[in-house]
Amino acid sequence: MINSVVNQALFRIFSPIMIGLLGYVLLLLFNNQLEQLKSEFINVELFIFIGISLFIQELNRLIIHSYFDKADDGFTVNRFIFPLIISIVLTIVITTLVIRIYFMLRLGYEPDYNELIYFNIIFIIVALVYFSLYVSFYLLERDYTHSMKNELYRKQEIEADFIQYKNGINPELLFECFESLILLTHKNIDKADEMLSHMSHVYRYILSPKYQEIISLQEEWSYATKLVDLFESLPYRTVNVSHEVNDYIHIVKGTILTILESIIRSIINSQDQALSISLTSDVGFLMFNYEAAPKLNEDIMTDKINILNESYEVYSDQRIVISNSGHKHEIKVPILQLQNQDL
Amino acid sequence: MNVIIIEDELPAIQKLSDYLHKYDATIDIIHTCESIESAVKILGQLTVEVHLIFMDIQLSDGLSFEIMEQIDIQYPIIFTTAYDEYAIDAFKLNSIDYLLKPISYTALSSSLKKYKRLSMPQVNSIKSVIQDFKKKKYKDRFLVKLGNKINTISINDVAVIYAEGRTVYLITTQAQKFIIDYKIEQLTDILNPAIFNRINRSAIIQIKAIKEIIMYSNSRLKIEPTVSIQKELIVSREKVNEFKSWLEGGL
Repeated sequence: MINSVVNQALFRIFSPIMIGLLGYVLLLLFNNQLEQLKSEFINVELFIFIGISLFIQELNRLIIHSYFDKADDGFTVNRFIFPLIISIVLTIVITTLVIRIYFMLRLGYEPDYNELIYFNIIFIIVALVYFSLYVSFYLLERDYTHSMKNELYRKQEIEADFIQYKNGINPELLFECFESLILLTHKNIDKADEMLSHMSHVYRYILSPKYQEIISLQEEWSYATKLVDLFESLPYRTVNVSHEVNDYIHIVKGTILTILESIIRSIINSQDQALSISLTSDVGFLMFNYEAAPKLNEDIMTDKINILNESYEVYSDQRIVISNSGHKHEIKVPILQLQNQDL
Repeated sequence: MNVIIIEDELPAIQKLSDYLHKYDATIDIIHTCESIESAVKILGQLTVEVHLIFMDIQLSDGLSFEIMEQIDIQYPIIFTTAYDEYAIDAFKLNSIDYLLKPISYTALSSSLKKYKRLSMPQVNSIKSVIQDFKKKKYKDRFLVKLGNKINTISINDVAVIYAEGRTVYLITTQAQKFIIDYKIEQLTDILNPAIFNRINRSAIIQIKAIKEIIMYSNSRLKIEPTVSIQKELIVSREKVNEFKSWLEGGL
């Protein structure tokens, strides 16, 4: 239920009092009995007017929400005719019923036809006022909610694009490579050349348009080895990666590169102790196992792995699972099952 | 050995020359050309024998293949390119030798060792590569999850693709809805622009999926698709002209 002014408790309490009061004055005007205001303003009839107003208000509120909350289609005049008719019919029924009961129990006779017409005209006007008020607020609130939702989606889309762009550029790796290149060009030009070649190889793969969503391990492996070579060119890093897995298992493009980089960045670098990462496969999973001391201020569960997990959610019921036992770490990546293995 | 380098970047020419001399000091670089125009002129007036040409694909005034359309080259060629992996496939498929930029000495040495195999001109293969390059590659199918397995949706069966936050949905012409692992931005580059149009920041529609176009508020257009979807498809104001042009076949 929307939380606009018309739905707030104060409005719902005071509005029927005001409307009931106006309706009562209107009836006195109809009957030419305005002098009664001076002698006896507060009487049972006034309370009946306030009561009926309260009832009509709540009735309209209920009709509009129960009718419109179910469907979220666009605005059409036809959509309002049916609830409006219900509102008017129920107003006539309730007004006639209450007034008859009041007349018979309090005054001891039945109201005449003209009196009933007056009462009904007044409360139909009240019903129309409430109906238009609630519909206006309802539409206003609905448009506002719709706009807010769209803005939120737009914000998320822009954020997703930005993260995608940032992941593609990978500024951390890019600047590390450039810094190493600066040093290497003075020491070993051939090594700098080789590093530049690896770097362009990896970046060409990461940044090229994504024609394929899923690729074979074999296809990604050549780029993964280039990435590892690149990391080995950077100071304080010695990395060995081996795999004993069927080359033709399928993974989301970028999986091995992302996980290898996340592993390398999440552990304490040591030139003396090489980081050995082994890839094996278990039932339905590709396993990354390595042993190293994790960094104190960095978690392996980076944005990149979260984004990778989002990709796996598209193709699998399984997610990437990371488990640690002391310095032993294991990352399980779901192997994707293609309907047609030739895809 | 007489070599010609067709390359529009001076540092790349310098680097290639250095590596060639490092490989074999007797290599003579008889000409360097920086554009299609100069290459056509020089190759057309050659008086000495040429043993090998290094040719960059993308020159400042167009694709170097245009040189071959203008003159008949009967010399072995090694192409150099900074194109992405899918463009490189054209070379692989046609067994044409190529070097990826930035050129490394190892890769160059390896190509020069294979050079003797290139003594026969690869005219037909080069023609195939030219054809492949002119035919821009577009995505032809999507992978989607269907039950426990992954299946394909042909690009012809895609009606609408739209984003809601970080999630991108694909709606087929049969009104099936799938989540795909793409961002709308990525799809813009890989879908055929003659068939698909990005109507706003978060939606792409296939031309055949348009049932009706209605004038909408604020100089925008509303599209009624042939399939029922939960999202309103509004052509944003800044995209309206482009959209109309696309509908008329102007894109």
